[in-house]
Amino acid sequence: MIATHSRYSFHTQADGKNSAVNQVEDHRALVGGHRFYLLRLNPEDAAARGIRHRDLVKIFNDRGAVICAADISPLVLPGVVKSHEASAEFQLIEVAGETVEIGGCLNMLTPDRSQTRGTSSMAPNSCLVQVEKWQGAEALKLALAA
Amino acid sequence: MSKWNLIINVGRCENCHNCVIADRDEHVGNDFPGYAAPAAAVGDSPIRILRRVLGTAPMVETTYLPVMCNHCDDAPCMRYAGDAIRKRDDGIVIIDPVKARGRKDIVGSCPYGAIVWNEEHQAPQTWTFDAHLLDQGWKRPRCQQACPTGVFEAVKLDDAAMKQKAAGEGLRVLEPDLATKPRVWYRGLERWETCFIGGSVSAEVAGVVECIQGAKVTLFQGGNPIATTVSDGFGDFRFDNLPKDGGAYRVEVSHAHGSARRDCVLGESVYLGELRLVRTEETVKPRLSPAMP
Repeated sequence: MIATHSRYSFHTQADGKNSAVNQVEDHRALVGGHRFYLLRLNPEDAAARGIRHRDLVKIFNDRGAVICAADISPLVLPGVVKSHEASAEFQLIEVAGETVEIGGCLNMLTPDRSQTRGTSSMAPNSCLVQVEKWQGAEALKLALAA
Repeated sequence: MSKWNLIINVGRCENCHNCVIADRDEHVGNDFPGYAAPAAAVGDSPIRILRRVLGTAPMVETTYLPVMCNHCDDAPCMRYAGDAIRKRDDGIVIIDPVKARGRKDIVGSCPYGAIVWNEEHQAPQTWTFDAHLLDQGWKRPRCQQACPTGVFEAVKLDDAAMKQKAAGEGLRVLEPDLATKPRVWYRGLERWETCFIGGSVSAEVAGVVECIQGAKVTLFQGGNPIATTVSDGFGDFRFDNLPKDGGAYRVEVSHAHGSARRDCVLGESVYLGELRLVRTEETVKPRLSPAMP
């Protein structure tokens, strides 16, 4: 996964907080009443996982799990997924016995160690992840609607 | 009588959403009596940007298409809503914020889906061409003012002059079959509607695979050559402006290093990948007959 600077917000500025930027569908997609960060993935990877455009997907590794809305596009190669660092939201929730983050805090998944020993050089731009269609999507939508 | 038209340059939009944000900045929380009630801060925007992605990596191309109220001269919303919607002498369509209050039913009357529902003010709303600004002497709407790449071009012309301009510059409207006579025109709409067939030519030269520049590439349909091109310095070639669902095509490549050919069926755009040139039989040195046992 690569998590670049965000396209529409400036780091955490203008993300979340009911801003107009937050309403941009290519910044955060409205799914079940909640605005999710987007995860761009290749059509081949999506098809192999049964993921359709704007399905909720779980991106995870040993550090944690984040829920995003799928943005299916050949603009990334198979094997690569892309999102943004600098989400201004952090919302850990427990759904169906699983703890996930739905604010879009991809920095949960990237390493917190320095790029070079003895320096202050954060490495929030890339890491290894797995992606799957999120099984908790319906349970969350019900919880949000309640 | 000169009237407003908006020209949209397809291919210049890169999805920055400045137009969307500027429109919200103008209308959210601001009441313009006679033009529009304050717009909703959340939910659907009256200006939307659609995306189309063609091909596959590394030959991939994205086109963004801004869409909004077309200010049609034969507007389905006006036919449906009666006096709740009116057309000004300068061509702009205004949904009356008072007369249309509570008329959620009007939203569905637009075949372009350009009307959004404002729950707070119970108002069906569109992109108003920022008529309130034009009436104060502005020469362009906020979307044009905010666009960094020159996508929008508001022009005030009489209908005959606009028709002539459209014909001369190849400007077209969305869904012309609806016969609604939109006042929003698109330049270069073929980029939104057509497809390409592309590929990359390579050959093994002295044991190394190289990109081949200058290979002659011919596109055939039904056995007939319909276009030719030449590969560039990366070995890439591309045939543009092909119709969607165009059916079966054949690509043939020839060069001093050999030839290659590939068949494909065009639904959406196709990137054929690498076409490795091989020596044709005539150019290969004839092999000796195998020795008889």
